Amino acid sequence: MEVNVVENVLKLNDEIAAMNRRRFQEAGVTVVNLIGSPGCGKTELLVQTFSQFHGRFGVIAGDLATTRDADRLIRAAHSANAVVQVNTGRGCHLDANQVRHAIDEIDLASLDVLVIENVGNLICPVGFDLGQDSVVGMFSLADGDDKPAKHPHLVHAADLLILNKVDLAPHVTFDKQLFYRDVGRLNDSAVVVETSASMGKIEPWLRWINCD
Amino acid sequence: MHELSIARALVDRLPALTPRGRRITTIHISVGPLQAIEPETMRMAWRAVTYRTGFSQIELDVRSLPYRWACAQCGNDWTSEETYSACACGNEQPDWVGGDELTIDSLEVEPKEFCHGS
Repeated sequence: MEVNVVENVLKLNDEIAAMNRRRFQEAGVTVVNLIGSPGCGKTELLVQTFSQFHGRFGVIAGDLATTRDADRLIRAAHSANAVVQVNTGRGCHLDANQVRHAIDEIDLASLDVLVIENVGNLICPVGFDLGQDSVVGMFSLADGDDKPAKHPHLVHAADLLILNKVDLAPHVTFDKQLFYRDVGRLNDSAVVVETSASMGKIEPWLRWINCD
Repeated sequence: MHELSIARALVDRLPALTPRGRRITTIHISVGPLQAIEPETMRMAWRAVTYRTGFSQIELDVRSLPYRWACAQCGNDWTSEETYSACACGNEQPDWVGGDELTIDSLEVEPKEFCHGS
């Protein structure tokens, strides 16, 4: 006998994500799920955001291991109150339940913007709703111009795409026209901004979080 | 290895989905290409997660779906194995309408045994 079901496999994750979303809304904090490959500059973008953003800012940093990201971010924030590290062990992405526990350690109402820095991975994190308002995808010039075409799920899901390390343009082969064409074909409503986080040039990102 | 997380998510749903007094024999799921799930890896993850549990006899059937596109200019709709596909009418910006599915479609359960007792 066959029984029809038709429900999302990740239904439980989605239900916890909905609970997180309600908590974020009640606290009045805007939440971004930041997804990018290892080494594309996610943490450096957030380090710079702590020094340049005029609002109240917090980060949940996801990694398989170590507290190195949180240590860097706490130094940049000059406070441990607005940074939580989540170690996923063997998990290649954050899920809504890990975020639910992490937000118990942050005073959400004291923040304007909270960025959840996902595990460095362009594939698995995209399918797991964390309760965020927006998904931000991050690529860098050093990654190569073909990453949007090779990772369409992230491009489809993203509200904003950041192209980082644009200062490397003289040193790497990167066809920007191809990059923008592929992004446009996959998601013509996504906003794309260019940054150079290690040089402190993150103004388009700051403008976006101020408006979002 | 997100197949493992997805297999665990499936196991978590089973108690709520199992009809009372029945045993599930097969679970049918559908996955779009954007989920980046390998059916064979998914079945292996399923076997690993259900090993030595009450669910180890349940078969997992994984149906791979294609990308689906629709053209607002000519009304055409089609499927494709490719990430991007232009419309035959020449429109290079068709609407992407499917490819991120990850759903439990149905369950097969053993028929109810007749009770011969009084």
